[in-house]
Amino acid sequence: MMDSPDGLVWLTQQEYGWYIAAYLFFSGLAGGAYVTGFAADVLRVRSTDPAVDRPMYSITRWGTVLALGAVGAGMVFLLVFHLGAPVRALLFPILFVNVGSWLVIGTWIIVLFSAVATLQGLWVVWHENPAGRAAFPRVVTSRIENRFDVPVDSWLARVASRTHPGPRRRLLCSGVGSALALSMIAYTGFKLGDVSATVPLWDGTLLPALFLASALSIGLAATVGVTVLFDGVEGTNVTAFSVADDVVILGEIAVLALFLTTLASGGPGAVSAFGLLTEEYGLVFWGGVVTVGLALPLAISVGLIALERRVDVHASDRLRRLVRGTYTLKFGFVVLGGVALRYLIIAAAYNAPLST
Amino acid sequence: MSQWGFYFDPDKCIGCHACSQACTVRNDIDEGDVTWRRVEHVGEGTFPDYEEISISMGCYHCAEPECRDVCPTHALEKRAEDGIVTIEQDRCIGCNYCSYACPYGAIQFGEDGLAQKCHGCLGSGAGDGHGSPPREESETARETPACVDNCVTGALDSGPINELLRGASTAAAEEFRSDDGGPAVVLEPATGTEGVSGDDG
Repeated sequence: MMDSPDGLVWLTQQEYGWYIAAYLFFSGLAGGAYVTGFAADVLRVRSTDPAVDRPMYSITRWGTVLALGAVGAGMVFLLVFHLGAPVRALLFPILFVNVGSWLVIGTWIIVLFSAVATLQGLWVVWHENPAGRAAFPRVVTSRIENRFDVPVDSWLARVASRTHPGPRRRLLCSGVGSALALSMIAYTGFKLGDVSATVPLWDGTLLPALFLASALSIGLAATVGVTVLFDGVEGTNVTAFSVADDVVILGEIAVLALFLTTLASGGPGAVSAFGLLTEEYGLVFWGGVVTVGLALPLAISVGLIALERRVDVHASDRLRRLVRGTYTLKFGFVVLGGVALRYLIIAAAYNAPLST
Repeated sequence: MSQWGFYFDPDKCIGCHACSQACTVRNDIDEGDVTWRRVEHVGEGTFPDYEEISISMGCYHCAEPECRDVCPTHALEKRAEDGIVTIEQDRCIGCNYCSYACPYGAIQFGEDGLAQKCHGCLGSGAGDGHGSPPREESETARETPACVDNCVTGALDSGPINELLRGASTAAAEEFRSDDGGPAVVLEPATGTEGVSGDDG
């Protein structure tokens, strides 16, 4: 860390492990996926084209299912791997009394988001008889019901039917869920940024913006990526979603550039964090975050748009498979970049040095 | 409240680690890398213009502790009686947030995953120090902290801040008074290695 003796006390303690990086990734993915699902929901309602209905609803289902899975995975990493007293943490309604702490604010945001996302999941998967592979949880509950004679599917369908508030109100509820999803993404940045005086890498202003851009990007990529992978590209507006992801990626690049500039021009701790990111962890940063997560997806996108302009990609099965595979690859790269970014945000988080 | 705190003079410190060892023994800390008090060796310059000082560091029981402010459960408390910051381990969820908030790396996590740190040898022995009587009233807590007790050069001292300020240099006292919310430590400015060989060491 320290190249030559500089009269500063360098504290190299690290308490957060890889599981916090995993938690940050999954909570970001959950938020981004949910917002993507909501966007598809809005597009579906506003569209007059009946051909759009099914693929858009498929994206909404995937977004909701992914959000629930990711928020659950995040909780596993947080509770099982990270916390010293996870059972005590489950008593949060009683024990979390410091309402000014970002950890308490974040806990309530996650709880509320999970509640809304669970209701949405219930409505978009168990209400009516949804088609498409995004409804796989329904397949699971049906099999359990048939094989073990446990009426779990009928029960969930009944609850979904009785609680369903109608299409408009469900959309409104999903809008509230999206606001909570965005808050959940931002809170992780604000929580880390709150201690930026000690950890210069966690810039209190830029980190929430970076997390927000990255989470929207990976959430969109994961949701549209699995939709394309499992349900095909037809009618999914994949090009539009891909371009939207590109716009978010460009925003993320701008924030990341500002983030690096701020670090490089800061105090000794910030400069050291810049060195850690770009040199010691240079392979993960330049290779993972910049190349795989940002540059390659943009390059693939440019290639796909050029191809789609020149030829009709739906003209043959071979071309359709090629486009489908390439989009999946692009979205996969975006998600991998998100993993690398969160790993670095934790791995390169060193305390600011003290002067003597 | 009479804020209790530490005094440290780097010019007197010989970097012998007696303070950190004594702390570990008296507080029965036996968990790998956990050290409530540690000695950092800080170098400056290059040979032959190289100087090194040793700094004994622990929790400085800040006037406005960041660790307390971020703790979700208020497990960290700034005691009204003597200003010592304690951790009620029965409320700690082991989230590690406090350790990132502390600029001094004072908060440590043992095998139980719960926060622990210096409590100024309140209660004189193992434990989190929470709920111990004020230093001025308790027979056991009035004992000198182990680190101070075992410092062979008088580099470390502890007690009510006002008393520590009376024995400190003007520069150290002014530095302390310049930071209202800062650490409860009166820190003498380091003047270099030459100071270590002074006759009061």
